[in-house]
Amino acid sequence: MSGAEFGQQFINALSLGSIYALVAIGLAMVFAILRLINFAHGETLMIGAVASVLLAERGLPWPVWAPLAVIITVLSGALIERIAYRPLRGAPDVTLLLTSLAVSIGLQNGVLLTFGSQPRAFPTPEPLVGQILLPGQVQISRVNLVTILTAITLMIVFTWFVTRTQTGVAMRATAENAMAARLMGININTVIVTAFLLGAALAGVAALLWGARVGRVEYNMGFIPVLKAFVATVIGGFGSIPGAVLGAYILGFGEIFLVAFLPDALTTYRDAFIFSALILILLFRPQGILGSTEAEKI
Amino acid sequence: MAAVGSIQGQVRERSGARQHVLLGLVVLVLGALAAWFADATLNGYRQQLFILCAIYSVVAVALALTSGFTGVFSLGQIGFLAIGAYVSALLSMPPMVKQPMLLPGLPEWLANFDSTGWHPQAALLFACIISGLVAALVGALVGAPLMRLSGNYVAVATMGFLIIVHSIAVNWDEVTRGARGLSQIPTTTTPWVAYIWAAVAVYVALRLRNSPYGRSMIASRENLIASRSIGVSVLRSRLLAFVVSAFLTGVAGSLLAHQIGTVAPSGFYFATTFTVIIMVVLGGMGSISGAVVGAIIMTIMPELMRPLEDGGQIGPLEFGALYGISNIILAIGFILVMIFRPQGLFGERELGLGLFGRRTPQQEWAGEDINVTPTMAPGVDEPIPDPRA
Repeated sequence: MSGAEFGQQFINALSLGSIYALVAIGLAMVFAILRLINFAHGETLMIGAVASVLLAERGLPWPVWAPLAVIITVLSGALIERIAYRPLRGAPDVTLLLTSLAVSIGLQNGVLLTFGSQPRAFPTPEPLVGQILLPGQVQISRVNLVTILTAITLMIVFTWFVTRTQTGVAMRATAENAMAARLMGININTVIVTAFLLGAALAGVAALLWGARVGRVEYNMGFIPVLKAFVATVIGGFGSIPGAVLGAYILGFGEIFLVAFLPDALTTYRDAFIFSALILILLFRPQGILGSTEAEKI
Repeated sequence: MAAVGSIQGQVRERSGARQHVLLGLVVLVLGALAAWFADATLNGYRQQLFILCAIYSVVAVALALTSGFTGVFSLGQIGFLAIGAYVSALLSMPPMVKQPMLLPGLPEWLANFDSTGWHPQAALLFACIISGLVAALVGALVGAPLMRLSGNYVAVATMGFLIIVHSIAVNWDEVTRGARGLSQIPTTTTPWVAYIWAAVAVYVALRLRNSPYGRSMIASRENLIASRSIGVSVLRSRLLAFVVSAFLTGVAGSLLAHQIGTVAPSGFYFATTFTVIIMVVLGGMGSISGAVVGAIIMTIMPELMRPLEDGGQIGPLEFGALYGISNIILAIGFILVMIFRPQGLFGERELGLGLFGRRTPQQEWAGEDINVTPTMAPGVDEPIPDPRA
């Protein structure tokens, strides 16, 4: 692999990891607070992408439809919480997990019913199309560059929010110990809704970036990103947000460079390798790299 | 007082057991009548539906065994169904379509293995048993490490297993023909065979639950620490449930392959996983008859809703094809069940004379009402509050 090729793969991996990270933050945040593995998080992403297509088809320019699509995603996230998860507050973990699977399947089929099964092209905005030539013959696509910059900016804003604002501190307190947080006068419902809103907002941005990356939009497009984001949260440690981000980048690099270095015959087994690694991590270090939660092990 | 209670309990339990045997016989005869009816009078489509009900009863009972009894929630069940289906397909396909030109990755002895000359039912039985054993072997290898995990962790790890199996089925072109799948499997599954396997699954599950192993499974689900402290080997009882469940699911996979005649990876993934989970949750986790009832409902209901998917007319309402509507209805139904009746139709109880109003022997034996609501996850993650903290 030449230096330029390595540089391109490096940027590509960084970009892929950034998208996984944006999705993984939402998963980790909700898990930390509710112990819910929210598989329907992938469907909020899908809704964002579908909304972009539908709005762009109305002839709106991208500076209008892009924010609108994110807003729609945020609303859908809040709605899912209100309708499906809030009535199940305090239910066993597995009940919550199964419910999120049901939400995911219901939403996928709802979009299948209204949007159709045919994939449609993502209306990638003009400034994102094309390549940029960096010094050293490294050619990178604009989508990758924008993805990396957007993700890093959002993560900085997010970090500021959870460490410096009152709501953010309340969220971390709830994740630490919900009972104690409630005794301190923190409104748990507000915290939970905020977590869903924030997670959905990040997923909405990820939807735009993912749409521009894969170029097409269909009803089941949320499945792969959420699955990968989920592996990322396991690598980093369930419920740890820095861990989830770290895990996302490890996964992004692992995936890109696995394909680059493995013999061709084995690259199609990429998912099998990734999930074998996931099982090994669960067995030997179930708390992940940065996680602190006690392992549920016998 | 406790001793008197337990003696009374034993007496009641014995008479309860007799009731159950009686009821079991009644259900067995009714089922056999249904199988005979299906075999003799129903048209092809309804026969297939009967067979599907029986096959999915096996799968649902197998899932109830791990998830309901031991509280270890497996999302990888359908991986074993796939293993069973593929193994039996490779065994039963005529050697003509297994030659190196078509399936280069197959070992020679398997490519030349020919059961087409046997009596069809003997070949099917052979394929079922071998598939079940292979699935059980894989179950033992996978379960030995994974059954140490609990709660969310085991659900996620078994999901990883499902994805790995699916990835192999899609990519191992030389043996599985990838996404195209395998075809030309003799379609020899009859209503009788499917029914007998369903009865075997129910019998095995019931016997297992009422054995010391079953009691230790349930004990470890209810309270991990308490059950270990009285000497229950949690790992061993979980592993036993997992392996038996894998065997039954492998058999079901074989029956399925011999019913449809083709196997493709898309049939063994999340959609099927979800359907089977709904069957068990709907019937009530930990209830074997609930799993059977759930399987029958969930097999017949999508067929009833098929007219909606295809478009058409219901009464005065005319509408176009509504793809995905049945899945939407199922998903909403599932969420409603989770919210309003999380214990499912039967909860812990079995379909029996005591179902309506009267308490089951097990509840009597406990001497007081068992709280039937939290029937799923083991409460191992609930720390005991420390007053000094």
